[in-house]
Amino acid sequence: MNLGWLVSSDHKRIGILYMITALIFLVVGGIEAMALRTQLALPNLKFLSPGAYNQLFTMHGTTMIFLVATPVLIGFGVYLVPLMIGANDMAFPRLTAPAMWLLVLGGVILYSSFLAGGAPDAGWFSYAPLSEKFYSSTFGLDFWAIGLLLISASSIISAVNTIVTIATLRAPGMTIRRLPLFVWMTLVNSALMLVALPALNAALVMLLADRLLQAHFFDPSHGGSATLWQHFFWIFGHPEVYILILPAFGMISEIIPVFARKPIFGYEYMAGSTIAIAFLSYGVWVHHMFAVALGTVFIAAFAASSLLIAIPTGVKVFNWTFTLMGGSIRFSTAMLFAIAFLVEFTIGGLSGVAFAIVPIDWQLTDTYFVVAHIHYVLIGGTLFSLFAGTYYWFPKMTGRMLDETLGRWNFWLVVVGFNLTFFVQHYLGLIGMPRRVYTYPDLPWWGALNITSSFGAVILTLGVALFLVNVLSSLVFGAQSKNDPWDASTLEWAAASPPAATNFGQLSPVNSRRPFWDLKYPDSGGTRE
Amino acid sequence: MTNVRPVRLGLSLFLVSQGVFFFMLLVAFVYFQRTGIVALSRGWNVEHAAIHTVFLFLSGLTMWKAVSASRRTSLTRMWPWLFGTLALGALFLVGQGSEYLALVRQGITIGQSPLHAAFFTLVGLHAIYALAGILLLAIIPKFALARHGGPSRENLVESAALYWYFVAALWLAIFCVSYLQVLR
Repeated sequence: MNLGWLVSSDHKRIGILYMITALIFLVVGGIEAMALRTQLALPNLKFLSPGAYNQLFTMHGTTMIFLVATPVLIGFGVYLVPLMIGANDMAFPRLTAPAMWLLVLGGVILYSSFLAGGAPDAGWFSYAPLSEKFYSSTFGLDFWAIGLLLISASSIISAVNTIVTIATLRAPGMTIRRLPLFVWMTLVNSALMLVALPALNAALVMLLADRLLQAHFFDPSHGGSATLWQHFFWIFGHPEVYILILPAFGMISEIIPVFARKPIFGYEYMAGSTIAIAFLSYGVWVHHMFAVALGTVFIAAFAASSLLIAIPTGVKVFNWTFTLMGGSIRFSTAMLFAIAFLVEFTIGGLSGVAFAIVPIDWQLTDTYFVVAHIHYVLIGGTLFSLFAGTYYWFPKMTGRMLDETLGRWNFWLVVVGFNLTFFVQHYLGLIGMPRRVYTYPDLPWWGALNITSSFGAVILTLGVALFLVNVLSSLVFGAQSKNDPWDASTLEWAAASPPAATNFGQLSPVNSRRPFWDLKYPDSGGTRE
Repeated sequence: MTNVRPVRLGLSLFLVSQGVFFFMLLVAFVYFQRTGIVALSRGWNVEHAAIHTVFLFLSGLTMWKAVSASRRTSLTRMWPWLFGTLALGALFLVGQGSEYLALVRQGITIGQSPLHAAFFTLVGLHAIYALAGILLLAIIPKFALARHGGPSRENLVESAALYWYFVAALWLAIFCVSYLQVLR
């Protein structure tokens, strides 16, 4: 990598820079998580002060959501979408890089809060009035709000660029019904970002007005409303959950068919359910607020809509499962992670359905059950699919294969470590341990379950470290990759590994959903719509 | 492969997101209007604001005429409409600016109540967007007169127009929601 990378407008280089940025922040967020799990390993421990604990869980959540999961998924999109639709670059190549650097700037501003008297400490959703100046008097939350505004602006620019790329630069014959599912889901995801992030921006601007200009939007002691912050935050926040998972669904939808040696089952339902999820995701935000006194009918309506969203998500799980059925499955590391994704994400989905049931929510809200749920969705769902995607597309991006032996160690350590860390947290929540407490008394089972969770976190960290070792060592020592090492069917595999600066020379018109398959096996038949 | 013009589509998508942003701020305004104990009344000069609104509305019309003229590839015909738009936009901005200054001089500020905060946030941000629009209109001649390179004149003028219509339409919404309630 040379300095040319820093001034490049090539979507592939910028996509990789997004991924590197996310990887660096993953390490930072991971260190924060380990500090939290060390503090919680035993009852009444004094490893961290309460103030430091609050700052670390706030920074861990904010980092993992805004500086790891969001950018790495955007990075995969920026890298893969033009290749998958047969384009040579993004629609606005000169916007791709500034969007990425805006994200980096947002991250730097967020972290420079440590130097300016203390990091934000009101949690990743910064509920008011705790986030108001009176209760959080350091500059931490100002840095948080300004950093997130920049990150959000970066995501909106990327979303515009992605949608216009898909709308205008598709190869001849690549109709909307022939788009690879990753592209479909990235498209819907970009649309979600366009309309969800502005709600966060509005809330952030209002919070900054409160903190810097003495306004009182969210300050109940001056006529403001703390509940309004919750509404605005979750109107953004729940679609954000899907922003973090839809591209991951797309990756799984590309990987499972290739390693099951079958076309995806129910393409139309897969694409259609994505649109359904996107629409429904705007009508469920109040399930984050069931503990607020909002009125029975209001709450019941949101409980119903929250249960409803399980249907399109369930459709996807069924489609992936039916794609596996009868396939001649190759258990590469990518496929192992994809299959594990199916299991872990379903567990996370089911605990999510539990929260749609109001009495259960009332019982479990703000307990470790919520922590378990969000990590099953974001690690078991998003991170597992990112591992799968990296093992799958690394050869295309670098021209080298990731080591499969290290990959298997990576896989098993992550699976065991992850489940050990977070499955027990369901029980911790059920027996009443609240989230966000820096320590806890020695109550029956609390100590045993917490030390198990912390031990699991060590194994999980080893697994992730092994992944980093695999990536770095394979970049130098990895076996050379062919252009199409997995015998795949989408267009990115028709390009060289790594692709040339202008991705494709001449492309044949696209005639089906598996254009590269048609090119390789012109007589295969049976794959056309 | 499609007939969609990338810049126009990109800008439209961006404006959709900005529309949602202002919609949320309007929601906050209405929320505090309904639930708050304070109302906006003292010091508000609805007549002046209405005159400025007419300026901005007229600037939308002149912008539309500028686009029509540019489509007919007649630069000389476009200039008067474009400068008219700039002048009307500037009149709006200066007029509204003096209104807010008058309010602040009377001690009516963002800190008075959440409703006041919502009002000043809305109109303040709108003013920033309007200023950006005026700057956008002001750089058109530089590109339109350039013989080579840069975006096409049609693309540039139409994109600037799209943005300006957004600024005007947004103001109409803000005016109807915030100022007209003072009359009630």
